[in-house]
Amino acid sequence: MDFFTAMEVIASGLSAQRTRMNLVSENLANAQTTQTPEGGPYRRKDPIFQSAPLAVPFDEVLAGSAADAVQTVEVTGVVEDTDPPRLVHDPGHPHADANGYVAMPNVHVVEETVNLLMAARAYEAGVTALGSVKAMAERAISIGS
Amino acid sequence: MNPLYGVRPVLPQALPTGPRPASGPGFSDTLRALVETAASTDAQAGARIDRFATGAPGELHETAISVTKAEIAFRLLMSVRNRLLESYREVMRMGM
Repeated sequence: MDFFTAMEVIASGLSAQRTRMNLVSENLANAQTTQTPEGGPYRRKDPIFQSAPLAVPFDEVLAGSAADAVQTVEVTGVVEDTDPPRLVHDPGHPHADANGYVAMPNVHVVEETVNLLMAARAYEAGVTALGSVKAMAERAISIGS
Repeated sequence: MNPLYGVRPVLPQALPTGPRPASGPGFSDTLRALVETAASTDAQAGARIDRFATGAPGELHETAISVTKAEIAFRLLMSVRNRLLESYREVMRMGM
C-alpha cells in the first residue's frame, strides 16, 4: 500500500470511463443505423462495471498487509439496451417493413450527450485525484527539507 | 598539588573493543533499492512511451501515470541522496 496503489486504482477508473466514452461515441455514431450484421437496427450499448481487488504482490499477501486491499473497477461486459426500436414511417426506405415502418435505433441523442458529459466529468475527477496523489507524494518527499 | 586533582573522567575512557555489530541491511542497501526502483519505473515509463509513440494499442493515461511514477521514484531517490550528502558534509565540518 503506497502512493502507487492509489495510482493503480485511479488508472482502472480512467480506463473504465474511457471504455464508457467509446461506447457513448459508438451509440452516437450509430444513432441512425437501421441495419446491423446481426440484423435489425442498431441497439444502444452500455458498459457494465464491477469492482475487483487490486492485484497485490505475493509477499504482501504472505505478510498479511494485503488485507486492506483496495478495489479497482473493471469493465466486465457490454450489454445492449432492450428498449424496443423507434418506428418511423418511411415507406421509401430500403429497410422499411411491409407496413412502411423503419425500425430506428433506440438511441436517444440527448441521453447519450448526458452520458458523455458524465464520463468526461468522471474522467476529470480521476485525473484530479491523480494530481492530488502526486502532490501528496511530493509533499511527503519534501518532509524535513 | 595537582590542580586537576578533582577532575575525573565522567565516563570510562576505554573504547569498545568487542567485535563490531554484524552489518545488517545498511544505508547503501537502502540506497541501492531506491536506485533500482527508480531505474525500473523509469524503464517501464520509457517502454510505455515507446509503445504509445509507435501507435501500439494501449491507454494514454497509463503512459502518463507511468511517467508520474518514474518522476516520483526519482525525486525520492534524489531527496535521499541530497540528505545523505548533506549529512556527510555535516560530518566533514565537525570540529575535532
